[in-house]
Amino acid sequence: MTVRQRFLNPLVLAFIIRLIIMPLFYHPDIKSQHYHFQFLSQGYLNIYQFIDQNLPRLAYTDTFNYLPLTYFFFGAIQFLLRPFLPHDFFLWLNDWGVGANDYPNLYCFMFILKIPYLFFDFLTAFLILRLTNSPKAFRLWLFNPISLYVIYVLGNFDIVPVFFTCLSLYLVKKQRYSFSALSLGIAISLKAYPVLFLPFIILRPPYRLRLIFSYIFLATLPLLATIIPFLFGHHFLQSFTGSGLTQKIMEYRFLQLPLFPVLYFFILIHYLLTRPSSQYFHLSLVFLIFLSLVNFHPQWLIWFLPFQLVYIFTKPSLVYLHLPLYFLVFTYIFLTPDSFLFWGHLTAVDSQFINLTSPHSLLFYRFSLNPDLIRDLSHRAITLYSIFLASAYVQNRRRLP
Amino acid sequence: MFKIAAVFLSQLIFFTIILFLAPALFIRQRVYDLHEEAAVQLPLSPSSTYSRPIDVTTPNLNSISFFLKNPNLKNQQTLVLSVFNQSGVIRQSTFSGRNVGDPSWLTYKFDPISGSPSHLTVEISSLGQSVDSLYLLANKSGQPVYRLTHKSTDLRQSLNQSAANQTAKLGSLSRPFIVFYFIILITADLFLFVPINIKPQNKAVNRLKQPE
Repeated sequence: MTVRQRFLNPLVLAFIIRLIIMPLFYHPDIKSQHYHFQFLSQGYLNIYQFIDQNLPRLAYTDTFNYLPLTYFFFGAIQFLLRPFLPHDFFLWLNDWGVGANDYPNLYCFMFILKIPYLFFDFLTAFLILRLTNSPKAFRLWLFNPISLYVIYVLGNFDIVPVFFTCLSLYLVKKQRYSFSALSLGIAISLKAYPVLFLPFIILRPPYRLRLIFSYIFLATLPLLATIIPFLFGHHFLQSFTGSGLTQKIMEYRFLQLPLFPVLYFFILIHYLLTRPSSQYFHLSLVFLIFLSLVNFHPQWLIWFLPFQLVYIFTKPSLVYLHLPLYFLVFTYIFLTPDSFLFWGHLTAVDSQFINLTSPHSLLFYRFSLNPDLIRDLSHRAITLYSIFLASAYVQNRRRLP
Repeated sequence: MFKIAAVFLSQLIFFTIILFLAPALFIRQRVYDLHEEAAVQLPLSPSSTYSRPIDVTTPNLNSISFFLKNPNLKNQQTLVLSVFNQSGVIRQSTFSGRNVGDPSWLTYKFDPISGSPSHLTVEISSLGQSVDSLYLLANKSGQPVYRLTHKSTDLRQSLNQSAANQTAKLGSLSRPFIVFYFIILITADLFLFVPINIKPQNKAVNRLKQPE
C-alpha cells in the first residue's frame, strides 16, 4: 500500500465524514456549555459566583459543573470563533424559550462550534499513530462509531482531555516523564476523570518516592493553579459537591463495598506487580469494569477508547469481538428516557424531531414493555459481555514494542 | 471521473435523505406549543367552562391538549373537550377525570380539520359532581395552557411540507457558510482522486512498520 492509501485517503475520508456529520446533529449540552462560556468575554472570571448571584435573571438556570480551566479554555475558543459565527449566534445561545432551536443557522452553529473538536480529534489520531506505528490503529480511531457519536453528534468536549491523556502516554514513550505528568495534569484540569489514569502513568520502576511525588505534584499543578482562586468561595464548591462521576462509580456495591474502586485497585496492583507490562492492557480492563459497574453517560465512553484501540488493533478478532459490545452500548444509550439522545439529535434538521416518540416511550406505549427494565438488562448484558472480553484480553495479552 | 461522480451522488443522496425524506417520513404531525408557564390553577367545578380562541395557520389540526392537575388522582367527573368555529361545534368528545394525572396533558385526538387559516375556539367544561378536585392550568392571564398538533394527511403532503421547510431554512442560512462548506467538501472529495506525488523516502514513513 502506498503512503496515500495508508494515510492520506483514510484521513481525507474521515474528514469528509466529519464534515457531513458536524452540521446536522445537535445535543443541548453544546448549547448549555457555550451559554456559560460566553460570559468570559463579558469579563466574568468567576463563573460560579456569577451564576449563583444572577440565577433568577439568566435565561438558562443550570449551574456550571465543570472545572475553571474548562471555562477559560473554551471561553477563549468561543471568543476566537466569534468572527466566523453568524450574527444571530448569541440570540440563539440565550434563547431557551419557544422556538429555542428554530434557527436556520443552527447548521452553521453546530459546524463551527465543533471545529475545535475536529482539531483535537485528528491530533489524537496522530498520537495513536505515533504510539502504535500502525496505520491500522490510526484508521480504527478515525472510523470508530463511538468517537464519531460522542464528538460530532453529542458535540461534547471530552475529546480535549482525551487528547491530553494520549499526549501524556506518548510522552511516557518518549521518556519525557515530567511533561507527561504535566500533560495529564492539564487533562485533569479540564475534566476530573484522568485521575483514574494517574497511577498507571506515573508509577514505574524505580519506585523512588521523590520522583513519584514530583510527578504527582506536576500532575496536580495545573488543577491547583486554576482552582485555588475559586476555592475560598462557596459557589465553586456548591457546583462540585456530588459530582456525577464520583457518585456513579460508588453506586454498585457488594457487602457495602463499592465494586468499581475495589476492582480498580486489584487491576492497579496487578499492573504494578507485572511491570514492565503495557498500561494499555490494564487500562482496557479498567474500561470494561467501568462499563459494567457505572451507569455511564454516553460521552464518558471516549475516555478510555484510545487505550483500548491501542491494545486491540493488532488482533482483528479482538476488534470484531467489540462490535456486539458497541451494539449493546448504543442500545443502552438510546433507551435512555431522554428524547435528545435519539430523535432530538436531528433538531438542527427540524425542531419537531424532539416531539417524536423516543425508543423508551415506544417500548412502553406501543409494546407495553418496561423500557427501564430492558435498559437495565442491556447493562447486565454489557457486564456479561465485558467479562467475556476481559478473558479475551487476558488470552491475547501482549507487550507493545 | 465515474468515482468522483459516485462520491458526489452518494453525498447528495445522504443529504436528501436526512434533510428532506427523514422529516417527511417520520414527522407525520407537528406540535404547536406556546410553552406558556402554568402559573394559575383554575378549578374545574361542576358546570364550569373555560375556552380560548386560537388562530390556526397550519391545516389539518388533529388534536388539542389541555394541562390538568388531579390531586391524589381522585377525580371521576366527566369532562367535555370541544372545538368551535363560527358555525358551531365541529369536534367534541367526553373524557373521564380518571384519565388525568397530577399533572398531565389531557389530549383529544380527532379527524383532521382541513383548511387554514381559521379562527377556532377550544373549550373544556366539566359535567361532574365533584367540587374542586380537578384543576385546569392556565397562564398568568388566566387563559388555559394548550397544545395543538397538525397532521400531514399523506406522504406527498408531508414531502411537500418538508421540502418547503428545508428550502426556507437553507435559503435563510448564512451565505458565506454555505459557500465555504461546499467548497471544503468538494475539495476534500476531489482530493481523494487527484494524483499526488509523495516521496516514499520520508522519515516518518521509514519509522512505520509495514502492515501485516
